[in-house]
Formats: sequence, structure tokens, C-alpha cells
Amino acid sequence: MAIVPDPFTQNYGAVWDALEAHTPLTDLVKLGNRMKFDQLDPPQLKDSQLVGDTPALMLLPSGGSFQIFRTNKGGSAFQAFQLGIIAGDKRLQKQFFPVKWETIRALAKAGRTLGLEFVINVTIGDISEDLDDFATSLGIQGWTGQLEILTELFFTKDELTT
Amino acid sequence: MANKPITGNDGNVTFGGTDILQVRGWTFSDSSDNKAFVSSATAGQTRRVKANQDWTASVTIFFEDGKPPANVAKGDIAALELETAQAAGVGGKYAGPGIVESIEPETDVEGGELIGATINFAADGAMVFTANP
Repeated sequence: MAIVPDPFTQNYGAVWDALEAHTPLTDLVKLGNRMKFDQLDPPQLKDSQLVGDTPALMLLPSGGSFQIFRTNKGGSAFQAFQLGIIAGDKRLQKQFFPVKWETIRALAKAGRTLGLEFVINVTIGDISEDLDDFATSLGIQGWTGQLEILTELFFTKDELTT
Repeated sequence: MANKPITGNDGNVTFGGTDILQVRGWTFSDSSDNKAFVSSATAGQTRRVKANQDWTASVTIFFEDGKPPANVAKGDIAALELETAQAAGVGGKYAGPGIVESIEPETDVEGGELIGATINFAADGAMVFTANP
């Protein structure tokens, strides 16, 4: 039983769908500032950023694991993502914390399956926050954050073997 | 097949001839209630004699779709098979009549772990291991 397209691509897209289904978040982050890597033209990072380029979100797969034999009937995968929040502003209340809060609410609202049959859990892992680091390398002044999104997928033996 | 250890990845459990779904693992304890004795013939040493035989088994599972397995309920008596592997020529199975002593579901809301349970079986007859042909 083939899963088409592959479940990792679907899972990546479902995380974006969950974020973009939450209007308070999309009101804060313009469409052009949502850096998706499953499009025909992957986003290009600019050498320098303009005011309108932030706040921005960037979703990156960041590894995981796969247990082919989790039970007598199937296996499971753990897929992690790093959601980068680029505030473009040093005032926490201006961009960074509102985007962080609405991101969390978007994921809570999406539920534990992201609307996919093979996704069985979604949770938020570590969150890191920094005033310089990543943003500085892009010529941005302001807060950035990395929010870890952890997903768990389960596949039946049929899905894995036929 | 070479003489090598194998993993439990291909293990399985059936009860009443039907697979228990989403089995994570099983344990089996085969015991003998041996009787100790000391007599004038043992020279001060405790010895033991084989007595009543018993066994217990535990199976850990995930609940499929969050529901307990349909073919297992407390007090049920049926043929229990604990398979170490399902492939021909490798492993085998312990098989015998067992009774479901208890089912202990666990739901971890805080940790978000998968919902599952431990099913405890006890003997209702001898359990015998047969190697896969």
C-alpha cells in the first residue's frame, strides 16, 4: 500500500498547513516571509533583509529516527523539525513573542495528527531564543528563535512492505 | 540457519487463534513450586524435589486506535501462543491454554506517550515450546 507522495513530504506540508490555518499567525507573518522548502522554487536567503522581510518563519527538517519493527503490526518514525522565527525587531513584544505564541496556538489547534492518517503525535520540544546568532549572519537585528516540532508517525506492516 | 542469536523483531502473540494487535513485547515465566526438604539422608544440606508446575506471561501492547484488543478480556480462557519468530526454521513458540488474569491500560496525557496496556496471563494447563519447522 504505497503512500504517495512519501509520508515525510506530506508531514512537512501538514506542519505548514497547520501553521497557515491559524489566521492570527498568518496575520503576523506575510506569505512571502514563510520559507518553505517543498515548493518548486525553494526560498533563497537574501544577503540583506528589508523591514518587510520580517517577521519570517522557516521550517527545516532536523532529523529523527525510524523503528521498522515497533510492534508485531507496524513500525514508526520520529521526525523533528526546527521552526525558525526571525523577528527582525529587538523589542520582544513587537514581533518575536506574538509570533512564538501564535505558532504554539496553531500547533495546539491542529491536534495530534495534523490531519494525516499516519501521524500519531505532534508536540513541541526544545525552544531556543537569541538576540544575535542566526539573525546577525543575515544582516538582521533582532530576536530569533528555534522551535522544535516533534512528530511521530506510525505505519502498518502493509504500508511498509507492500 | 546458522547458530546465531535472533532479535525479537519478528515476535508475535496469538490468543484463541487470533493475533493480539500492536504487540510490543512479551515475557514468560515458567516455574516449579519445588519443595525443600532436609532429612537424615541429606547430611545437613537442603535439597528440593520437583512439585507443581506453573507459568505466567505478560504481553505489552499499544491500543490500536486507542481501543483495547477485541479478542482479550479478563477471565477469558483460550490457547495462548507466544512466538519468538514467525519465519520458517527460526525460533518457535510457547503454546498452551492460558487465562487472562488482568489488563492494565495506561494513558500518559502529560508525556504524550502512546496508549497501551499490559495483559497478564496465567496457566490453565501446560505451556510447551515448539521450534518452527
